Amino acid sequence: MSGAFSSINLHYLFGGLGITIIVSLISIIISFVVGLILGVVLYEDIPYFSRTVRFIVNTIRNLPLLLLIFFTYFALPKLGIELNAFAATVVAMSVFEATMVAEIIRGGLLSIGQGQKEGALSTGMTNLQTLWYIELPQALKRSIPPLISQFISLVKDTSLATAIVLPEMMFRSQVIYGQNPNYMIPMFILVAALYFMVNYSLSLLAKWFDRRMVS
Amino acid sequence: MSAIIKFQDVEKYYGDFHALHDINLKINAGETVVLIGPSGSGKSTLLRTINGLEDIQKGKLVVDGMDISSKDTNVNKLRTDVGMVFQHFNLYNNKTILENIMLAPQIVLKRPKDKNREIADELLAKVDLSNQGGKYPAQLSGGQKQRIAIARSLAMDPRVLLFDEPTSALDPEMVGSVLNVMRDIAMNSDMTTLVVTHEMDFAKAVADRVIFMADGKILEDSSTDEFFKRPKTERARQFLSQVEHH
Amino acid sequence: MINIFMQNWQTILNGFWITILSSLIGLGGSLLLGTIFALMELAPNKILKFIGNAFVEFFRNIPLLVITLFFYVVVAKDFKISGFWAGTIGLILYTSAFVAECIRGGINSVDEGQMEGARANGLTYTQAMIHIVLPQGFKLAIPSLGNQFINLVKNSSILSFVAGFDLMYQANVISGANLDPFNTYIIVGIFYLIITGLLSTVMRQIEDRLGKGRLQ
Ligand SMILES: Nc1ncnc2c1ncn2[C@@H]1O[C@H](COP(=O)(O)OP(=O)(O)OP(=O)(O)O)[C@@H](O)[C@H]1O
Ligand SMILES: [Mg+2]
Repeated sequence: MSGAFSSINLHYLFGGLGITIIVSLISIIISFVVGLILGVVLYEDIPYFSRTVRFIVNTIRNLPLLLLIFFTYFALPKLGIELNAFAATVVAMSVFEATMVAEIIRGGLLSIGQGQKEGALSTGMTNLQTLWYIELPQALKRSIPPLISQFISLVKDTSLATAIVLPEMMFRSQVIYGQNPNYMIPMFILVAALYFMVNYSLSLLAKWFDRRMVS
Repeated sequence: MSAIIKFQDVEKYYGDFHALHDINLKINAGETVVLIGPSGSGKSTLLRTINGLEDIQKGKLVVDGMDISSKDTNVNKLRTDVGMVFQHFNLYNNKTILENIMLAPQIVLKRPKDKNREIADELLAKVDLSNQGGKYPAQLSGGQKQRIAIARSLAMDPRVLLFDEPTSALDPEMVGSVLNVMRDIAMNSDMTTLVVTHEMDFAKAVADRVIFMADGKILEDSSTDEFFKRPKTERARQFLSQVEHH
Repeated sequence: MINIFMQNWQTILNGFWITILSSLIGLGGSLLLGTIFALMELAPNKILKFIGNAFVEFFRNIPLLVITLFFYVVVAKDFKISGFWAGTIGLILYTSAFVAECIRGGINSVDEGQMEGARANGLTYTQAMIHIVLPQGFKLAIPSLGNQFINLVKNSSILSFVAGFDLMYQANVISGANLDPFNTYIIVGIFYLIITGLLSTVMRQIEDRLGKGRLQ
């Protein structure tokens, strides 16, 4: 086959999809772990520490991710931290998404109600045991649908790394239609369809969890 | 007899709000005490201080030999000896009935698994819910939940058991079964029990003593007979005539 | 840092203004379009429902950059369309899918008795929706809408991809010239925080006021 969907082009584009997925997966794992810890810190009201974390989380949440990507890639070298495009994307996305995850976890913990905590404390469990056995399991379950929505955003946002020339799917599609303007429309259709397929499957998963929790 | 709970000049504030005024109270080991009073009088607050769920600002509170007013007291240790049953049960929604009962003995007391299970089964039988161990709290009625909550507290083998209006969130036909379990505990164990309730018949039948509170103060502290036959204060007389006409 | 601002204040303020303008147009447009699509999703008519659902699912699940570049690269071949408008139209379409979800959620949490009462009272479905259910649903949707509008402001940085002359674009221009990306991005970050911080404060106040209203 030749034209927009020649096997060379497709091979090149799907390689980009692979990078998109790998960047997404790594960022999802890191941001989940870090966000979980931050969310607990926000919820627990540790003197001074929680307030400091609150300030940092709010600041990062209120900035555009694109700014964080540029900052990580172009500005951090000034502090002696040199990252390639791949690492810079993963770092910027993990930091940004971790603050989003933290907010979701905190909301989940808050939605459980004091009663569960008091019930556990009254039997002599420590704060940490209460958190681990009673509060977190319930909060996590409730947080699954919003977490999946957040991770859908994360997958879409990997396309921003085009700006620092990370050869993910969006970037490679631009390279392909750069060769020939006739490839533009087919490329847009294919790229949109691929993003859609990945994210729509994730959103079906979120809906499934949502339904299972109502019943 | 020695006092297992001792309040000395205790004051409790919620921010600016003065919730407990000058509380002086001794409760002896093995006693069954009923705490009554109008809504907002501070009954729950008083109960919760005994379990360390609320801190006090002034005075001294000693429970089971531990000084709660002191910062050095390990409140978790205290709570293994002082159980609490809540108005809204507070069963763990993410755990089965058996897990609800067995969790704290397992991770706090480190009770061996077999022994833990054996005790849990006995307790389930005691509260008449033997075949329900695998269910989740959401699958039980209110009365059943409350009996499980009592079993959960008993599993820690506490020396003191606190009840905060355990039947007031229940449908009328569920109340009896919970009161029966409570009566059994009060009569047939050497546990010290402190019960906040509006069930006057239960109080008359089971309590050794009645404490009447209003506006954050203890107005009366008398034997059950005396309190119901000859209340000393006008507030108590008013309160009794109101609850008994309903 | 102050130096960078002194030397480039005109450029920065220009970008700041473009970011605000694009966000405001995006807010108005996505609110309108999002409401329409929420109503379509909830409509009894199967065809309307399908179109509403398809729109929302499509724009929720593809990157904003794909939508924006589509207008800037493909559509712009036949119609004259500036980077500003390509970005802003992309923002409107993308955000309206999320706005539709918020409004649909708000309407769904309005008590069913409201619709039944209005219908029993002689109103048509459309009248009951417009006069009774939608206003209440809107109120319930305000907290989640607030989050979407903060996202909208942050997402407006997409304009920098298509020469939209917004804050992000100007940051790249300035740091390209002074070779001090570190301080330049921090300054520009502060300008973003001014908008998003202001927006979250306003949203919190609206929520507080509505919360009190419900208790009365
Ligand atoms: N966490 C709190 N913060 C502020 N005020 C509180 C708090 N808990 C209780 N109060 C106030 O303290 C007073 C005593 O409350 P408490 O719950 O002890 O009353 P109660 O006698 O148990 O009433 P009820 O019969 O309604 O349960 C009330 O005026 C209540 O509003
Ligand atoms: Mg109470």
